[in-house]
Amino acid sequence: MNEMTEARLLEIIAGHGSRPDRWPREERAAALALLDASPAAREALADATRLDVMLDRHPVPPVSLALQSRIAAIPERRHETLAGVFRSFWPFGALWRPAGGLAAAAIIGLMVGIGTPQDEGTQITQVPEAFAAVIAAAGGEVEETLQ
Amino acid sequence: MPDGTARMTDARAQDAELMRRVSDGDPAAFRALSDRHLGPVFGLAARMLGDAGEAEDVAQECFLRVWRQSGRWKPDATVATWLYRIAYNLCIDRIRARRPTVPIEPLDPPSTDASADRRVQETDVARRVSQALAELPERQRAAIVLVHYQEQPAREAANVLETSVEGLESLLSRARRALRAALIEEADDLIGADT
Repeated sequence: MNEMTEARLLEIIAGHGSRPDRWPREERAAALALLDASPAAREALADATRLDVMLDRHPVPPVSLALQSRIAAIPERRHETLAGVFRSFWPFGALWRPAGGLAAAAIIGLMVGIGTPQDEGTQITQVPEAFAAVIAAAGGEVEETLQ
Repeated sequence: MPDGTARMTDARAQDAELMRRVSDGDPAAFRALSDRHLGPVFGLAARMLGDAGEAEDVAQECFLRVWRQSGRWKPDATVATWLYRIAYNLCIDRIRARRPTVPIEPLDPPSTDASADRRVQETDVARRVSQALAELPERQRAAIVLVHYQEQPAREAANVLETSVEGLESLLSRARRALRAALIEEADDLIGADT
């Protein structure tokens, strides 16, 4: 560590003020030791004390209960925000109702599908005229395509 | 009894643990963290902005960011430094968004049992200090608020302002010189009245 000089002590007082407990910790002891021997530093200290007394006369109001409550509610606000985003995409109320309806429809459809015998007579054997015209324009033959 | 340094180390370790839990989405940890730091964050904003209402908005936004962006905190800075930096940047945004130098209203000091004359004098002094602070350049004001009012160690205050300790001392010296010029006559009257 560098040796404490009067110039450095004056810098410390000019920047950090009159209270040694706020001076840089690693320089505090040397600064205090030099203070007794330096009239210029003692004068600077008295001047800094006057300013510190003034600065201390500037209190701030205590934190309001309303602010404390708003901040304590921030974690809940996050969940509310997520719920709000969901509602903007799904404005139909509780999700379980449409989900339940969809599941019931799927089960009924599955049961009907399994229970219905396959009808071989429903195979497609004819082509709509418009589709046949498109194939013909492309140079194809409808009958061969189907067989 | 632990000394000041040991207490500070304990407090930092507790803050770090709370931040870890906050980043896991623990509301109780968030509330504990805000209980520890709301007052200092509000104090910084109130003195930077000179307006208690705006300071409340800044404090609320600051803790909203803590909850949503806790993963951005890195253990190389103390939680207090990180919070002060968020609050300081929010204050700077507000100051720069203001219309050209709107006069800053003094903060209302807490009521006391002192006589009416004494209260008037205290309010007047608080107003003068508030005005003198408001007239400082932003970084000088922040340096004084962090070191004098929030009692931050020089290294932590320098981290908030993203400067060196030497840079911080330069800001402090210039700020105190300007404040002295603005306030010293009243300081003489005040000290004379007190003695």
